[in-house]
Amino acid sequence: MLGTALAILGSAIAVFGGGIGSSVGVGIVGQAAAGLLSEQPEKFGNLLLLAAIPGTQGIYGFLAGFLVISKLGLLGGTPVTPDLYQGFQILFACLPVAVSGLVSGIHQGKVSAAGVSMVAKRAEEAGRALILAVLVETYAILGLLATILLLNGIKL
Amino acid sequence: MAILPMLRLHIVGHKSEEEDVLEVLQELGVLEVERINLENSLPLDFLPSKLSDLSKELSRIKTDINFLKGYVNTGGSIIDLFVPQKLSLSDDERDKSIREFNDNKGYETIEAWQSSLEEIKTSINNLMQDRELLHPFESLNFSIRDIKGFKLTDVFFCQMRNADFQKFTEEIEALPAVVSRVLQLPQYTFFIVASHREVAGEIRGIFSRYNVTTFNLDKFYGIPREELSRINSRIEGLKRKEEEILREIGKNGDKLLKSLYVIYDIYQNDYTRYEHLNKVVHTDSMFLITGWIREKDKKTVEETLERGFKDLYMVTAKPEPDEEPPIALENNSFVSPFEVVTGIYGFPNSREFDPTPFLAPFFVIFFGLCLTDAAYGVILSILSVYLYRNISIEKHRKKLLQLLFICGLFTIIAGAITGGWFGNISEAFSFLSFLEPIRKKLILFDPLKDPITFLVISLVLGFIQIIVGLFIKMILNVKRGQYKEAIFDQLFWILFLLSLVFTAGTLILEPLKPVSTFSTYFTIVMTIALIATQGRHQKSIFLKITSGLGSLYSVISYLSDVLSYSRLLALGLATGVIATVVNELVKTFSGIPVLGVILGVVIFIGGHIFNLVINAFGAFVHSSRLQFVEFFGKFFEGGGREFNPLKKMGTYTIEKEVTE
Repeated sequence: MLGTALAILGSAIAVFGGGIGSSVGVGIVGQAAAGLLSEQPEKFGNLLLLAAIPGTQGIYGFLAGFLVISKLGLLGGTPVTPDLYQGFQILFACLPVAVSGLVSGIHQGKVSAAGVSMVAKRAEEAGRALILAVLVETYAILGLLATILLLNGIKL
Repeated sequence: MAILPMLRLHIVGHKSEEEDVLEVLQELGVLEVERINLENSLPLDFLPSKLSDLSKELSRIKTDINFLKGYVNTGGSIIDLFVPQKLSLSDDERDKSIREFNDNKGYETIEAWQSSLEEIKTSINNLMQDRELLHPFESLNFSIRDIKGFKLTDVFFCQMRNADFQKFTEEIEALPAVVSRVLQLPQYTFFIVASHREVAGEIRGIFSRYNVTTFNLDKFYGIPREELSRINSRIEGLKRKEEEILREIGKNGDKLLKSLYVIYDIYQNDYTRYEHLNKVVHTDSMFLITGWIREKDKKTVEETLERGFKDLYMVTAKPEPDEEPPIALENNSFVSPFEVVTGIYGFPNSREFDPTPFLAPFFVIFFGLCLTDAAYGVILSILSVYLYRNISIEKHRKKLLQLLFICGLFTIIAGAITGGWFGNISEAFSFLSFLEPIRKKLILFDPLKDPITFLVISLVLGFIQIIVGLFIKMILNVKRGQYKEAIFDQLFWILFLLSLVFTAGTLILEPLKPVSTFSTYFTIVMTIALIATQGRHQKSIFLKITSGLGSLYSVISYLSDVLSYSRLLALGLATGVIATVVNELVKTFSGIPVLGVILGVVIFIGGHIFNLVINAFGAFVHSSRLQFVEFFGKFFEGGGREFNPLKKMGTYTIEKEVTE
């Protein structure tokens, strides 16, 4: 049973790691965007996209968490019980998405907030501000990818 | 296709015709006027005051518009929150709208509304203040005028804190004066003091010691209760009047607002045109306009101007080698929506290719792979067609919708071959299980069970795009006559990368085994060729070889470029997994009796919309990023300036499209 607990721990770390990264990141952009919106409400559309970008890390974390849950069969069907080593394997497999999501979410928030001040001055630059923010996201995606491939490789 | 050739156009003519010429040019919308600084160009005396008049007029109309907008229900939808829509009007409709506006004395009407609303507001405020003032003394049952103007007695209407009232009363009544309490609230007491005039000084002293507030009720005459009801009825009357005006604005304001929109845009176009006069060179009696036109517009411009004006002298010339003409792109109808993507990065310069046709096929495939859900593709396509038909904005701003439509179609294909229809809808819900065989038939591979296939597809696509990028750079170098660079820096690299990958392939794939020796030797030859040529800029033979060897390190950067395409797998999986989660939730909740079905439907719709929006957005930005960083990095220089001709534009209105 300890194996199952470890696997669940992995799933939990993935979800809250990404979640923290995203909520801090979205928080940073949200504040900047709200400030700008009070002056220029017509830029809502542009700002919404910028504010949403750091939200993806949380989704990636959740996605990894869900993959673990469905791997364990906790959603119905017959639950699989991993042994101690497999539990550790699953736990470690969750770390890439958790840690990269946590860190990149926060930094993406900062880049997006800088993008908000770019949009404040020149609305037509919104696309470029988005692309700069997306450069940060690459590493969250690579983390997710590593987690998916690792989880896929663990045979229960 | 690609970047349109530009021509420089000079127009010389008599000053008297200048404004008309510019107006015609603005109507055509084909000339980008360039500022030339000539020392002996004379400034136009009337221009500064004309511009300031126009901007004053603009700001006045803007105030009126904002005023009306506050009261007229414009029937805005949720789309307006993201993209403010514009009125689509033909020239006739514009004229009619302005005529009606003038016939109905539009400005006067609006200003009358504005001032009467303001007046009512101030009056109501004043009356409300009076009411506040009089309210505490409501219980008095005599007229206020009756206790005013005595010969020897002063009467005060006062308020003070409850705590000291007792002491205060004693002190006052020691003088020839009386206190009469009118109203006691939890904290304050309202009262009247009547005193002999000869002790007025002492009374005032006591008042200030006890912090007594006195009220001036001179403006009231009658019994307070009657006065109050009079005030109330006046307030009500004013409010009725206000409502009446608001109703009238609601009824007629709509039309006036539309006319104001039309007028605003006319003035704005005038303003832009007169601003352009600043860029024109003037002598005492002549003017010179210089700028850029697209070569294909040459005939139209010349014919139109010659027809309208007799004494114009026009000259066109090809751009000089050191000149940077602005960039106008033209592509066929499949490619042109992708100019949106190119535009985000920036325009190409005049000496290179338009990258749009090259990125278009990759972009749609990447987008499709990132979204990988056929049902989402269907929704995306239908939605973009719907918006394209119904949104009223400039045509060039609708390109994004065309782009999303094409991307939606590719998403349907990508979704079908990976078996994504709202995630696993036919598997998850038993009442849809009859669709399962059809879904299974279309599947080529299931990304969740077989992510490696998906990964390989992503990386192979990435490799192809990088080779294409190098190839474009090679062609570009050949065109510019830089044959050495084309062969050594691009052709050698392409051959080297291809042979490297092919050799790796021979190790894995059985049928390629026989050629493995050949391809290994070929790779070695290419490696030596690279080492021999990459250091050619260095002087000593030793440096030539070391920097040649060092250049092989670029393999790492090509490798990391290719690995970057693995995001296609991650994003593709994300869509499917989240959709599956939504379906699981729906199944769990729909088990609840009675409410279950409703909850299930709500979660299904909300969840899938959320997933679609988040992932379509992710698919768009990540597909763009792969173009900008991995693809453009290989060949694109950029730095071009978008062609921005003097033309008619509208903040609130657009030209109605002529439907034939």
